[in-house]
Amino acid sequence: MLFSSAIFLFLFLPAFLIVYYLLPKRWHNAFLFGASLVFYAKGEGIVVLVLLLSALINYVAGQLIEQGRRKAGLWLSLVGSLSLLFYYKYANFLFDSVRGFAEAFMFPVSSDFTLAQIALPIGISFYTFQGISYTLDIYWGRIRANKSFLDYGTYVAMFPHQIAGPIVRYADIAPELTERTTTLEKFGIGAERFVIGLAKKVLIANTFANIADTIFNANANSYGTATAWIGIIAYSLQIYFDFSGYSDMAIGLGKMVGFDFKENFNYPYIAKSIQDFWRRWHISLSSWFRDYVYIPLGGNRVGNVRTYVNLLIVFLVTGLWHGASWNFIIWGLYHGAFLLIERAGLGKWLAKVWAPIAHLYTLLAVLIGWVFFRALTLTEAIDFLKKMVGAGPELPDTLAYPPAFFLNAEVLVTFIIGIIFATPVYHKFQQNWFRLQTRSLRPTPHYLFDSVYVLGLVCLFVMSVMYLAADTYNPFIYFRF
Amino acid sequence: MNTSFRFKLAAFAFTGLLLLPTLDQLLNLSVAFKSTENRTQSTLPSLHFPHVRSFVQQFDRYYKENFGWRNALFYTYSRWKLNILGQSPLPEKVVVGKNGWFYLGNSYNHVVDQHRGLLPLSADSAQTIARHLVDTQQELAKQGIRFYVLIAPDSHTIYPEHLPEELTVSQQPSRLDVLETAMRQTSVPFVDIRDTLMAAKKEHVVYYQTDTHWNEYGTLIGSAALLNRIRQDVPGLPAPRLTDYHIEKQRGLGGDLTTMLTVQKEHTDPVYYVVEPVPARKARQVAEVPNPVSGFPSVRFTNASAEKLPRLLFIGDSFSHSMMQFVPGYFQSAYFVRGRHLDPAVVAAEKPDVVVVEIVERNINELATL
Repeated sequence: MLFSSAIFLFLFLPAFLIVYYLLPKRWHNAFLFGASLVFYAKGEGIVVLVLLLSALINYVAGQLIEQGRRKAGLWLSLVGSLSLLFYYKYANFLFDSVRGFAEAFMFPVSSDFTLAQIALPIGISFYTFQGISYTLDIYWGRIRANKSFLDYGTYVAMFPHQIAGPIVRYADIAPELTERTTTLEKFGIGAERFVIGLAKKVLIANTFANIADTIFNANANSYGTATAWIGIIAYSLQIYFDFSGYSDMAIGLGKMVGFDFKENFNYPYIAKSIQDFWRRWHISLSSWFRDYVYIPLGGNRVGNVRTYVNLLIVFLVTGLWHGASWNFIIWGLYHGAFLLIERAGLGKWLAKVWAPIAHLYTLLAVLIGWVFFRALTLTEAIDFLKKMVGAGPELPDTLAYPPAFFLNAEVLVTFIIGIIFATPVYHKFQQNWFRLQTRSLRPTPHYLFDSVYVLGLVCLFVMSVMYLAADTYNPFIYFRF
Repeated sequence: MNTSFRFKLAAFAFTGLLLLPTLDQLLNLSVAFKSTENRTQSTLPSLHFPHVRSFVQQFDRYYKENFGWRNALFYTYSRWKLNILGQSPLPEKVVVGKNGWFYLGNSYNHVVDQHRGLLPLSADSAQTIARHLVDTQQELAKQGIRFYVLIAPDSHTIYPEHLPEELTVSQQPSRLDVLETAMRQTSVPFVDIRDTLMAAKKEHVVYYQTDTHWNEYGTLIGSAALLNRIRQDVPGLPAPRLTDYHIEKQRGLGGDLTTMLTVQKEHTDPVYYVVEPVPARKARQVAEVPNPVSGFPSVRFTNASAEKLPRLLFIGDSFSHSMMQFVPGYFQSAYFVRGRHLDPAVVAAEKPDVVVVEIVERNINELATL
């Protein structure tokens, strides 16, 4: 179930909130756990058992570590969680790669040597990493294991962050799992955040998705260099607004039920280096890799060569975490390579150079990286990159997708809004808005400002739902013809 | 800084917004906004245990199509996109052109891409169609039946000047050009009326601006072109003359394209032609026969005063609907069937002298399986 769907917004969420707020506090976790399983099963069916199994493995592992069987608990968590992840996410990729290599090197491969497609349980990468961080934190003595499977299961399955993150660490919300406050004010903060996230997803990301999907799915001879750039810029904005919008909705929903999830984005497109970019992009993932892979590998305390190797390992697995394909591996290593170069000296130069040059360098590097991320195959990615530099195949006289095909008033406005809101403009606007309010000591203008602000959010919500409704409207000219 | 009031207000507003659709479903608050989707809407499914999965899928579809305020939201969306942003609310269904013109979009056999020359018809495909039509002609000729193929042009072809600028068009021959070249090598009468309609549009508008189809005047011109072609082989057929028709202009209505966008009341055709034949050119509708294949009934006409004239079997698509008021008047009897297949059983039952197959330009590929 997507947050940006009518059934979630107008059926699941209100029903959930009404029951949640009517129930006594001691029932809150049980209800949140149950509702989250329903939320997951509605989209994934019986695969909800994989989520429960993963939760159970890490719960038992946590107990084992706590009881002193530290190694056994840790191995159970790592082998158990990761084998589920490997089976569901990487088995097909590994199998196809081995088969591909064997064929490439002329090893005889039987035609019976096949593996059925394994469906990927949604959110498995998120809940696996959450589980591992839980057991590792217990192993390292940072936290105590949770004695209640209900509470631990609530943490793993919780629908606000269940299918698309952010990766919420147990340590961060452990106190709230036991005791949390839900107030009208906190609910309002969550509602505001949710509406902003919904608008980012539906009004901005989806508009860019239409453009990016059309261009990336188009025949190579149907568009030229300018359109390719429109495509990758649109995709860059799509992925940011989609993911950060989803994180906003998750944070907002968390607040509505009393949880404070950490921020997952901090205006990544204003970064001045790739290192800076990764401090701002999908923070819960990059910090997870930092804390649970990079530092345990020795981090930067083990000499230059080992540091470089550690960085490459981290970015190789970062790529693989995003998806089981060579494109993601290359995307990860590509980012890793930039980090290496920056560590080798470019970083110092970027810190001194005129800021727009550093921004331009970062944006270009990130944009080119997204081509590997978005294209379905390596060949497609390379063809697209060729097109971006004007080295594509000869084009016919009439292009299906000239730039003018995309650049209508709505898209241009969305581009402008997208670029503005990818920077901290809104943050500054809010600060100024509050400053204006505080200048007025009388309560009437204060209430007026607040009312106008909330009215703006109501309009944003209605507009988002309007776009959702349009997505479901499918008229036919002729009945049964 | 105290922002408590704002957050409390946001909490109430958000809760209200979440509940409004359910209130609408219970109280029918948005009943004034009707769906113009012209299709069977999903109904509330019932759960047949243990088939929970299919119930969930059906319910999902039902809810998506029926949640409260959905039609009202689409009405608003449509006006926002069309009147404020100047974009099509459903770009795959309807292309918004210039000067109040609307065109069918790509979800109908890629009509826009066809028009732009992005999906050229290969010479081989044209030959395949031509061979099939020749076979059909020969099969009918064995029964003494003449066979004609009429292509109703897309409005994109007749009024390209109102299409959006960004829809650039290739200079290569169109799909219909390629097919016409192939058909010229055969003896099948292939009635291509593009030039006739292009000439006629200088006098009157020949297509609806807000609808997929030709208007009554365009239909008359198209029908006359077909009849003139048949007269070359059947000289006894009366000559179609414009003077046999009384043409009157009225204010038009919204057509199928603007109806899909729910803006049919605001975006209407500037003119509607009422074309009335003289009594001698009027046939009498005598029957409607249900046609479960197309969903549209077949219609039978007779013309008692024209016993010596041939009998017509007309297979056509929606463009043939308006031809029923003009063409039957030139035949002893006429049987109009809506569809894309020439059923030998219908031919055997009707025993026509003339068979006409009409198909819209965007669907000419379907002539290969007529």
